[in-house]
Formats: sequence, C-alpha cells, structure tokens
Amino acid sequence: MATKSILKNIDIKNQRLGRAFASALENAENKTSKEVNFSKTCTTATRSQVKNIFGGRK
Amino acid sequence: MSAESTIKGYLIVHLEHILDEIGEDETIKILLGFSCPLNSDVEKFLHHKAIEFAKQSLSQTFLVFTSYKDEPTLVGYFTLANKTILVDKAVLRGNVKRKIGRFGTYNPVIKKYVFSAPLIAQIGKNYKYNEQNLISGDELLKMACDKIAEAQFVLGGKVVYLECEDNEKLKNFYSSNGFVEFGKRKLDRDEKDDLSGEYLVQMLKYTKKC
Repeated sequence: MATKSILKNIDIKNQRLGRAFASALENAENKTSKEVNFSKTCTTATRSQVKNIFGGRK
Repeated sequence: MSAESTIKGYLIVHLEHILDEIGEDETIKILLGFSCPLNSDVEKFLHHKAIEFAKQSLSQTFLVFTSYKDEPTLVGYFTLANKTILVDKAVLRGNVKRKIGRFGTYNPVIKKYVFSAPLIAQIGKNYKYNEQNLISGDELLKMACDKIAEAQFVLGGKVVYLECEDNEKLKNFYSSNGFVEFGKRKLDRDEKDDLSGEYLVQMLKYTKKC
C-alpha cells in the first residue's frame, strides 16, 4: 500500500504488459477465493449514529 | 456510555462524517491512535494525509470501530480511490483484444481501452490492539471489497485493484482473497523511506465475487 498509488495512473503501453493484464482479468474472473465471514455484525454508520457515538467529543 | 452510543459488532464510519460531527482537531486525535509498524506509509497516511485527500476528493477513507472495554475503538481502516487503467490499442492482438473488450471501453480519440478500476489505496489493522485480535485482515479486506461492490452495483464496473509490497506473505494473503497479479510499479525515490523493495506488485480482483 502506498499513498502515491492514489496520485498515479496505470497506462499500459507494451505488449507483454497488455497480455499480462488481459490474462489477469480472465484469471481473476475464474479465481476462487476463500469465503470470509464476519466474526461480528458489520454495518456502516449513519450520520445520526456517528453523532450519538462521537458527538460527546466536541 | 448510553445504549445509543454503544457500538455493536463492527461499525464502518466515513471519515467525512466524523469530521463533520466533531471537527478536525478531535478527528485527528482518533486517527493518531492508529499504529501500523509493518508499513509506515499506511500509518503516516492516516495520521497526516487522509483528511487532506478526502477534502480534495482524491480518495475516501473509512474507519472501522468496534467496542473494546465499552469504548468505541479504532481497529482498522481502508481508503478507496476512483481510478482508470488505460491500455494502448496498439499493444493488443486478436484474442487479447477480444478478452480486454469485455471489461473496458475503447476510446478512439486516445486509441486506448479504458477500464474503470477502483483502487484499494490503503488498508491496515490497528496494531495497537493486535494482541486483542479485535479484527482479522480478511475481515477488513472484505469490508473494503464489499464497499466497492456496493458502489459498482450503482455505477457499474467489474474489477478492483491494489498495489502492495513484493512480500510473499502479503501476496498470498491477497491471492487467497481472490486477487491476481498483473504488473509492477517501480517505486519513486521518495517512496523508499516508507516502503521496502524496488517496486510494488499490482493485483486485481473480479468484484462480482466480492
């Protein structure tokens, strides 16, 4: 992980890299990955939840 | 702490929502509670860049909290960015061109195939609570992929990518979660203080499986 990845673009300009990219797309489509189950419930906070939980820190 | 303010399970919080609610100074205090000795870039980003990047809409950061000792506790975070991958038409031949065409669109003006590809720009567990094992890397990565899948359900798109250090354990972790290697990016000189090796490995995942 790198901060600069956010600022850079990927521009594939050679045949070898183009083939590798196409192959990865195809392999990823068929790739099996392990099933991950959350050990706890997982939800995204609403604004009111954020207010209730963190509002006291103001 | 009131029942209303207790966190049940994992709670994903958009950084901008916390900023709006408690302001920048208090938010920074929460962010400074994050520690990631395995990758100082992941730590420094949250401490010093996440807010600025969110304000500029370069990326959006999501904080993951759970309740520990009855307090909301930051257990990890992930940052997402909207990117495109370009591929020169001239480098593609017959069969490869057909395969590529299924995933992206061709722009005749620039003579390139264009792929919308969200980036998992940062992801990390808070090692301050590593011994308490409050969250696994698999769970955190699933949260990031699920968030992207939600966005792609509305906007379209089929893949997500990331760039990680060339480390077998890391690559195996991402591979076991459905990511496939597709390239490398050479590190800039100023990135080498915080990242190991000479380049980052680029990996993608087909998000319909998220």
